[in-house]
Amino acid sequence: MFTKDPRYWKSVYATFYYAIAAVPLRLVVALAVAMILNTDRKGVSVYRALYYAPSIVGSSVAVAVMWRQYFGTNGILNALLRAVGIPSNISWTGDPRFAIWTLILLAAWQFGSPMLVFLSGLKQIPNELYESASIDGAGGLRKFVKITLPLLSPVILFNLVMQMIHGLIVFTPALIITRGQPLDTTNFYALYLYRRGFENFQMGYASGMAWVLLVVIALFTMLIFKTSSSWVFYETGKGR
Amino acid sequence: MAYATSLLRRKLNTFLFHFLVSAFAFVMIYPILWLAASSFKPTGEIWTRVLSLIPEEPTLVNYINGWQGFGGLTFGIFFKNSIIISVLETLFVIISSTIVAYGFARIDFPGKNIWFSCMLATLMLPVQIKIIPQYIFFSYLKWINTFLPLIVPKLFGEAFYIFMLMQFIRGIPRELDEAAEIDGCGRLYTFTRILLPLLKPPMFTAAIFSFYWSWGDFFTQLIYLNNPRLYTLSVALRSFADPGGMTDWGAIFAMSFLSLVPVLVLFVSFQRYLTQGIASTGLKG
Repeated sequence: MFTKDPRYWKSVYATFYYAIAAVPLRLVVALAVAMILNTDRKGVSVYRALYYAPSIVGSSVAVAVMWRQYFGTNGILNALLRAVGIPSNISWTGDPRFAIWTLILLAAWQFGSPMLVFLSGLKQIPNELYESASIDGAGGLRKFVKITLPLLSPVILFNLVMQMIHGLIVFTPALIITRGQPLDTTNFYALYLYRRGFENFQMGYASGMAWVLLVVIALFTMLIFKTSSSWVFYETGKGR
Repeated sequence: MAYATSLLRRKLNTFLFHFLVSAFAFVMIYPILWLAASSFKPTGEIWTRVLSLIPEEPTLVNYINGWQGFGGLTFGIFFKNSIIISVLETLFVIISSTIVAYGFARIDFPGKNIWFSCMLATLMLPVQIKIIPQYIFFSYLKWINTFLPLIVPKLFGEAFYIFMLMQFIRGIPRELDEAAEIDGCGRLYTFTRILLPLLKPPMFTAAIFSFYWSWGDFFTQLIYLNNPRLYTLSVALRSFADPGGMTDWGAIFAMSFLSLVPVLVLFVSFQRYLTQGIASTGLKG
């Protein structure tokens, strides 16, 4: 597995590439939207529901099927490009350079649950902190860096680790949208494990892969517990 | 004068906020709307007027064609399979998880902490890791190509719901239990008559989650169900949309959208439960 199978390493590479690109992207969008929605203006709950809706359907086969069509030769993206005057006939899911990015975009689109976690984290930051900072003359960016980020850091860390684990085991979109193609650039770990175990019936090989995955995920989990003392502390009252 | 301009400014700010936020919201749900719109367009129109969200000649032909399914199996069968599996899974997982949660929250027994850590550890264990030993185990039982490997494990509870319900039980004052005991209630009676009525709201939340995840599940269903007669919606849609087969995209979109309808209805009706559940546990997604 480690020494004789270049496809294995390619799938490890693809998986980490995906996780490292998709997870921070998703979290940045989630945090930005959470901060915008953290007001008492009217209609916020409606917006929150609209932003969350993609996440509720996002991992389903139905969405994967339609995502493939968005980025096909006749898909929405090419139609949009043509509408603004750029002739484009690329099959985005079929091009080794872009295929993985269609999956990353799908992941970024579903920022609903980290957004909700961020929102509940933001609600716990006392308003007085911002007010006193304003009196001291701090601008918006400074308030964000000095108050929001430090107080939210436990939530950010928690989201980061949970989403990393989810990123490492992504399966459905890779199977449906790109089938691991082109040139194995989206042959993610879980997909390769499935193929080895249930298409080639090499259960031993697949078990070996599962063990390695277990070790990696255990490391991530340990990271949560090792650092939990610092983030449980902040969550006054509403501990896990 | 100064007051008037600041008021104007506030109004402008509010307007800008709503404008930008709703514009972005539109971008967010555009793909879902597009799927819905395309399912009502005649096949030719889907790709000639790609971006439009309003069908020029609305038609139901895609739904009629799509419902026929493939290999002589209609989508009625797949819907039925999905409903059977989701309902049974939900029922079983909620009943068993509530009992286990009660045990962990209220009863002291030797080794409780160890068992509790074991239970929590499974929270971090993705199905992809468990699947191979599980598959071999179930194939010895000759359970492949039945619903059993999907439904029976749910009788043993699931860490996510156990944990959620435990947190809730811990919030119920122990004095209630004690009062019931003094009045002569046994453990079973205390549980069914005192705690269960109080546990209805979190159980309901858990049930919504469970139904939603069972409905959207693909990986385990793909592995255990190889007979088209047993296909659930997820697995059927995958075969339906396989490029080797048909390319009636209108029909595919129609069935895809139909499969999302129960989830969307659930979401719209019980949005509050779902969002609170995720915000308070921070898990899954």
